[in-house]
Amino acid sequence: MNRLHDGARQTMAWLHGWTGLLLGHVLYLMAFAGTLSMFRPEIGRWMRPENTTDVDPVQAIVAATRWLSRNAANAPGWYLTAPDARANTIDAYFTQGGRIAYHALDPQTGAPAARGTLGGEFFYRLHFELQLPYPWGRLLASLAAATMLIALISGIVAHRRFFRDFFTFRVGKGQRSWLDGHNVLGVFALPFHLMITLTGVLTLMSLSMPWPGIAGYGADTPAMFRELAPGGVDRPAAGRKAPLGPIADMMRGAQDRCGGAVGRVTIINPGDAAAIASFTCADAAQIATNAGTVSYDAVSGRLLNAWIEHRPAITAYSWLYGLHVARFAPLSLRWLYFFGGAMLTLAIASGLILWTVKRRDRLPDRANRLLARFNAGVIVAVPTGALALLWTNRVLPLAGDGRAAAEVTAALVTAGIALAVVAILPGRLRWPLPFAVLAAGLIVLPFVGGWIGATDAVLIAGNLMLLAAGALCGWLAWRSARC
Amino acid sequence: MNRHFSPMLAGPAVISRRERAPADRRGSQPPKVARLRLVPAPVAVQPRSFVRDRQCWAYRANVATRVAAGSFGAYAVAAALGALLARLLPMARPEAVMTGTLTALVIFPAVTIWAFLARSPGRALSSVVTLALALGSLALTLPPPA
Amino acid sequence: MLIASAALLYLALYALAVAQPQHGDVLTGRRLSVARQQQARFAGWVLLAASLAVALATSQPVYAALWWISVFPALGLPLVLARSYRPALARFGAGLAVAAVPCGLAWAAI
Repeated sequence: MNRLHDGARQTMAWLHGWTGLLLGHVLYLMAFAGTLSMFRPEIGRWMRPENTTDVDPVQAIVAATRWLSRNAANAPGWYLTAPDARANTIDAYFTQGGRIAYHALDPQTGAPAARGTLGGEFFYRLHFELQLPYPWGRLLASLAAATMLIALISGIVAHRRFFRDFFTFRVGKGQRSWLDGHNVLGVFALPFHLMITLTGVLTLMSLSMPWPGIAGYGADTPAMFRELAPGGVDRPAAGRKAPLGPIADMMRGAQDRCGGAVGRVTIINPGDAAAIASFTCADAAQIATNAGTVSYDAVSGRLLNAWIEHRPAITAYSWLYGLHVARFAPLSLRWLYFFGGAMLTLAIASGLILWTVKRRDRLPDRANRLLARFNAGVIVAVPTGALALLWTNRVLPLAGDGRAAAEVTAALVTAGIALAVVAILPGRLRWPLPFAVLAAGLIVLPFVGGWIGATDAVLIAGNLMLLAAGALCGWLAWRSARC
Repeated sequence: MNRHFSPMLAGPAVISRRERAPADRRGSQPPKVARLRLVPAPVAVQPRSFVRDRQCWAYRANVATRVAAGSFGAYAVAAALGALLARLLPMARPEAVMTGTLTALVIFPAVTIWAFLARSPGRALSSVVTLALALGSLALTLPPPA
Repeated sequence: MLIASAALLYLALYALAVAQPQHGDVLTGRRLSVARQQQARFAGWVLLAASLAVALATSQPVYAALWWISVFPALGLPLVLARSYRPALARFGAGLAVAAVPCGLAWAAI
């Protein structure tokens, strides 16, 4: 038999188009959520403006464990992240009422923060779990990331005029403009896109490619986790109750061994005589994540195990993982990552639009028109859902148990309604109207309940970003209404 | 995306359902030159190097085979190679597993791209299946590292 | 140091864009001879290398390399947009960059 097309470039162009289209909408959502996740703690701060920013991480963890001892004493484990310069709450995962739940704990009382909200954690989880139950969300995200990698490589091979069209962006020329825009967005940030996609596939490989692990360890997965992260301690509960020991001393000891701050604090079997307190070195101090772990007996405070990672293969994996989550990044680099992620999101969106624009004149069939509507729906629905999350955060009263869940429901429902409405709108309104609504929503939001953040730079920056995004959406509404 | 239409492959008979761009419908045929034929023009039998007709089963089978080879096949090859390296490499167990995982990460897109560029879909699928089976069985026969 | 590196990078991209026949006239606002365009291309590559070298000369070369790769699109995209919408802005940016290079180096030396 035979090849698919005339040559390698055409085959790769065909492959780029189809791999881009198949999971492009999922990838758009992932890129959007991932870009926002670059500022996960900052978004959390914006969504909990009444929380103080003056935080001592050791005292915060002590307060948290004290509250948890009273209110989550029967949980099999408490998984905490110590606050740092960026985050002013403790990210806590623990089992309550049979389900593992996320709470942001106040650093002074240890109790959940007054305003119940997921904060930036919503976008972080959305990015790799897609609001789907485990493991389906992660598997879909993994598949999408792998497809994106193929789309990137095929796109590079297919792009004939790589250097000649490097700076080309012809305005107002229909399909050519869309192609130029897609190329510029893709090519200029190409190293970033390649890096983020490759490392993105890597972060989910423990789920999507477990076979090397199974080949090495068989069914003995606990042994694998023990050998990959040797700093932990694996011992069963003793069955006797015992109060928690001096967490502050343990944490300070761990800080000394790490040579810097502590990131994650994990208490296994709290309240039990055989409880373990594990401290992981902060991810912000170096590029590689999981740089080291120190474990203590949680009752007596005795050091049980300490490990600073130095093995080359494990460090390489952690380094690549760290490149993706970018917790190491100082402020300027974080903004540059954000910019790269925004370019990736726009590249995916422009690619989806380019697909329908290319076929609009050549094959004006029903499927293409339907796809054009669906494209517009998805591209608008994702930011609309995010905006709804932020609006509900400001509008809902502070008290209330299911407040965090209500915010998420509002976001998803609004996104669904936006998708349906935009898909029904006639062509002339399909882009201008939703962008105008988005612009209005973004510009009004910082003023809802009064402009907050006279002194906090993060809150001011957040409000300014909302205004800038609103201006951008307004400009897009105006431009799309013109043509 | 391939809009070329060669008059040589189209016989004098009715051209079957093909994808034709508007540009190809009119005016793009070369002007007919009156020629005296003493013998009937030989039917051009060239070795086809690629499938043009998008609707025929041959093209669809081509695509389907390559997609299978490039997705499931590439995954199988990557998994098999990763598993083999995890058992084969003379390093400590966790490091061998990690090296296998990282290798699988780069192997998988390479095999996928190759599956679409291979000379024929049969070659793509058979090579990928053979490679996956060979690497996999080799990985299974090796003892798990201590 | 990073300010100087960013300024050099912008100048490099500007020079490489000027070297291309479809952009050179629009960006500089005057007709460029072929010789001038070739000089611009050479200058562009030299400036690109210089920008990377200055970035790597800082105290943390790995972070600087990541920063350089990430700042490339942040400077390139405004250049492309300026060329298509308002070329005078791109020229102004080039002038700003020329001034920023010595300032950045001086600030780093202090």
